Amino acid sequence: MTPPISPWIIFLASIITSNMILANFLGMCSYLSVSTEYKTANGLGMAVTMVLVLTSALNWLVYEYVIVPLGLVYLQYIIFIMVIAALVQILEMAMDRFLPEMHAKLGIFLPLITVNCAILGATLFQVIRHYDFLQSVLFGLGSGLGWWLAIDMLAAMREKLAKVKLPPGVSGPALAFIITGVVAMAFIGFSGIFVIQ
Amino acid sequence: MDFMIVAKTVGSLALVSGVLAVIISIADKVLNNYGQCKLDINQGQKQLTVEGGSSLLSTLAGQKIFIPSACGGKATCGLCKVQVLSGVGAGQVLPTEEPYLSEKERAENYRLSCQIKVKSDMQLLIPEELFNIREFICELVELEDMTYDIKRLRLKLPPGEEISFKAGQFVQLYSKPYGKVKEEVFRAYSISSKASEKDHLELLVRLVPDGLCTTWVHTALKVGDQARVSGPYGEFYLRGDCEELIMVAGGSGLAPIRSLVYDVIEKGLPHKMRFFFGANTVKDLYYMEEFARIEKDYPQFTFIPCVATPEAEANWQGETGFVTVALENQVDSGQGKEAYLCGSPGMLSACIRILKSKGFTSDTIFFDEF
Amino acid sequence: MKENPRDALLRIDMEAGRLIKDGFLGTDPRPLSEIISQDLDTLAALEVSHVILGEAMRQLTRKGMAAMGEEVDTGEYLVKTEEYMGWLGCPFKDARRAAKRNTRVTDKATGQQMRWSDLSIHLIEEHAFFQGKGSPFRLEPEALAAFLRLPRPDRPAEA
Repeated sequence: MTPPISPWIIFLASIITSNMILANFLGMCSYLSVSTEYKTANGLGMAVTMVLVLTSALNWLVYEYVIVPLGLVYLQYIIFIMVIAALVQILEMAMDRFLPEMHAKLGIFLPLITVNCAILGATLFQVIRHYDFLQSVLFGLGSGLGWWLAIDMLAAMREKLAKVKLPPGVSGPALAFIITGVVAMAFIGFSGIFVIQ
Repeated sequence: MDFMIVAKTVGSLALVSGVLAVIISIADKVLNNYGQCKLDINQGQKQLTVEGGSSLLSTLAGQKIFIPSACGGKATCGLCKVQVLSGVGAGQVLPTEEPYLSEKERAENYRLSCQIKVKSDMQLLIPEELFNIREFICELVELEDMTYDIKRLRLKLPPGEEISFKAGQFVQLYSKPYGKVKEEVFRAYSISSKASEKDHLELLVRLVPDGLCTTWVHTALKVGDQARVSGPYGEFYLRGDCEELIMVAGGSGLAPIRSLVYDVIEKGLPHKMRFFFGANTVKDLYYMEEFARIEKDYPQFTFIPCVATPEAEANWQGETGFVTVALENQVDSGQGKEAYLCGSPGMLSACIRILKSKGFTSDTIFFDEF
Repeated sequence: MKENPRDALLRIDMEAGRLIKDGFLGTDPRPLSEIISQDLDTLAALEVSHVILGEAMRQLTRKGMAAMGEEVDTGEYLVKTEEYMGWLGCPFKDARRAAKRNTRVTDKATGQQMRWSDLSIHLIEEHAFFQGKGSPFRLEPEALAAFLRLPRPDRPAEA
């Protein structure tokens, strides 16, 4: 049942060949909205990675020791979402306390990590593919780092392009989509290296 | 429908949410308490325990220690400086504080109290005189139109309470939410009434287009309403180390000058006084009879109203042109004189330029610019 | 598109009743960066920069200030300034403040009048912010450029 893939291969693949944003197009809305300023994008990337690692681990434990034994598989989506929501709530409180400037900059996008489809997506991928604990945690970590990488790249490019004269209508969301598409195509070039899906 | 499945669903969801709720509450208690912070003021003279999380300015105001502020905590007046010896990132002056703190002040740990938050125990140094500042819930007993855009407010202090202030100082007036303005706002207004009258306060408020507090005074405030004030504040008061006082004001800047004039007269001080009052048009003049009367009764005082562009029909016989013209022509030197100015930034800089050219120095020119 | 967090933070102080009574955004529903970028597009089409516009406004205001509140004739315009006590902070949180000074300018040739405050000069010159549609103090970029007769052949269009 557990696929015979090394957890480290899963880790690298989730960053490069199965990047959450560039290959799976999950987690797009905060990726597009928060990528106008590099520093803020970096902060959000870090937050999303933290949430992904913790939720992957927690949700694996909840699935193995609560959902399956108690026969609650028909409730798994709700339970996963509740765990994610609780974790994001706690992360927001911690950020407000220890990194208040970043918390203010991220504003509403911090609680919106709860409904970031990359988070639930990672959990569901690991359930569907029957990953074991180590595989799940590294998958979560890699997905987070891949998401972080993608948003950092887009933010860096958008910051540079903000100072350039562009044809009318292109600046803003249109440009973000164009860049994302081009980068996604570039990442297809990695696809032969590992296959995990 | 199988009752057992429903019961299991409800039960397990309740259990999971219950467990998560407990975990979140614990995290909340641990993380969201900036907790109680101890403020040590003036090396142990006062020790307070306060809830962290708000700005130092509002936290101290909540403890009835009022730090002066003219702009309501928006970092545009620079009056709320306090020495913070510990408890806030030293050397990490915020960009909003930078314009108001000199190198020397930064070295002495001065910070703008409206910009720093109370997050941990702090050691502060606060000037003694600020402990005299109090809050009063006054009643508005008179509201008079002095000109088309200046109103005079007469506020009665609560029975038994008194305010001791030096003529020239200001109070903070707190407006209440009205119209689109959803929060309480406070602004600084100089006291125009006599310092000897301790149970009443008078203020002169000129309507500023788009102003938050002035619009409240001119549209929402009515006689009989309660108005909160705190004070007295300010470094604008009589030094008097001279023979003559040159006073210049424009618009509502007349307020502290009026208080100063009465103060000199009531205390029987020997200073000569010349008050140059600048107005744009004759319509902008007020208190004309009062100052003419003071001039008649007290020869030491001379009143020189200047109208920049008098209306033809007003038949203005006094000085014309901007107040700086009269200042230039009638003040010969800074010798033995002190200057007290109150008005808009443009008027102040023009007058200061002229006075300095006459020999006045930064030590003999005093002004209020908020 | 959703407003990004930094703009959302700036928007709080731009609403009515925070720094000034009517706020800087009027009834405009667009995000802050969109308001600015669309006005910039208009300026690009007119081949005038916001820095040049701000400079022209500042020069007229300075002439009004020199006349100390009297109406002054600059040749092409009549300029009158009016001042109030106190300072207004810039809502873009750049720690800059402006005096409460309003300038009223009349075009002698057309009789058209325009009003601006010292703060709006700073907002236009530094931040390319002409205020939201529906704000009583919004200056439409085309109208302002036409009023100031910019760009002119003897004056460079780009800063």
